[in-house]
Amino acid sequence: MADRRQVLRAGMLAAVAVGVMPGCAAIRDEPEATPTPDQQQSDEIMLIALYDDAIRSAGPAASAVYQRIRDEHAAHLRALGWEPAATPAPIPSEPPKRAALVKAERSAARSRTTAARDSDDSEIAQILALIAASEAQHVVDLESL
Amino acid sequence: MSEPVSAALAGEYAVIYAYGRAGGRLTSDGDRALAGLAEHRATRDRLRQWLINDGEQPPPPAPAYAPPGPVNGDRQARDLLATVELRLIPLYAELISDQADVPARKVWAIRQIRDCALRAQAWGAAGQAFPWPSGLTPPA
Repeated sequence: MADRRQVLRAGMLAAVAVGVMPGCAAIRDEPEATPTPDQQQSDEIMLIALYDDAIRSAGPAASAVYQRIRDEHAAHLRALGWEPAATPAPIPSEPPKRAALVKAERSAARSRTTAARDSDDSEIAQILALIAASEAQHVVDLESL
Repeated sequence: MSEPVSAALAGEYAVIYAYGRAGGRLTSDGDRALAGLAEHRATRDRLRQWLINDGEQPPPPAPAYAPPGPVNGDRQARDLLATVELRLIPLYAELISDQADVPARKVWAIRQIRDCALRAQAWGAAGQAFPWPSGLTPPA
């Protein structure tokens, strides 16, 4: 009987362990402070990476403008509740062209405007509206390079 | 009485006055100043109409507005226009909250922030992550 109780107990523990495991897995999949970025945060992360790539191949004048814009995107990202990564993105085979940056800024500005409109939180709507304005300015900065 | 709408209207009156003051001092970009002036007049009319639609009496403009600094030449005229454009932005940010339940007005306020930022930039305002008047703290 003792053996049987032990087997039952082991089985129960195993069942409990199996029941707990998905929870453990979920915790392991989402370690501290690295949840999945939302659409607005992802846009900023992508823009920062684009500028990091562009800075590497740009001349001094364009590089200074790219760096300022890149830093403004990092500020946007922080305001959206996400800490920018310290390590730059890996170097791609071909750096983005200015037209690609313009397109990305335009697209981001449109997306912010829509998100500001749809946000029920007035403070977030204000921040998104300011980010949209900043990104609209970036388009002008890029086009006057 | 919607204070934020009245405040934005008062801001537009002040900017229209500033365009008048600065316009004569600009040595170039007169067309840009005229275009900006026309946009602000249209914006002023829109805000007045909102108040009227809401059953309120739009406040009149003041006889004159003190510019933040001297306006003696082209450089100072551009600085004035950049400054007054940026000063409108917090007023429209406030409208985003105030008009949150009126989607068309909310979207319009969001667009005003962009337009003010673009005009400020055209008059020489430096880039900012959150376009906002100097000396004030943006909501971000």
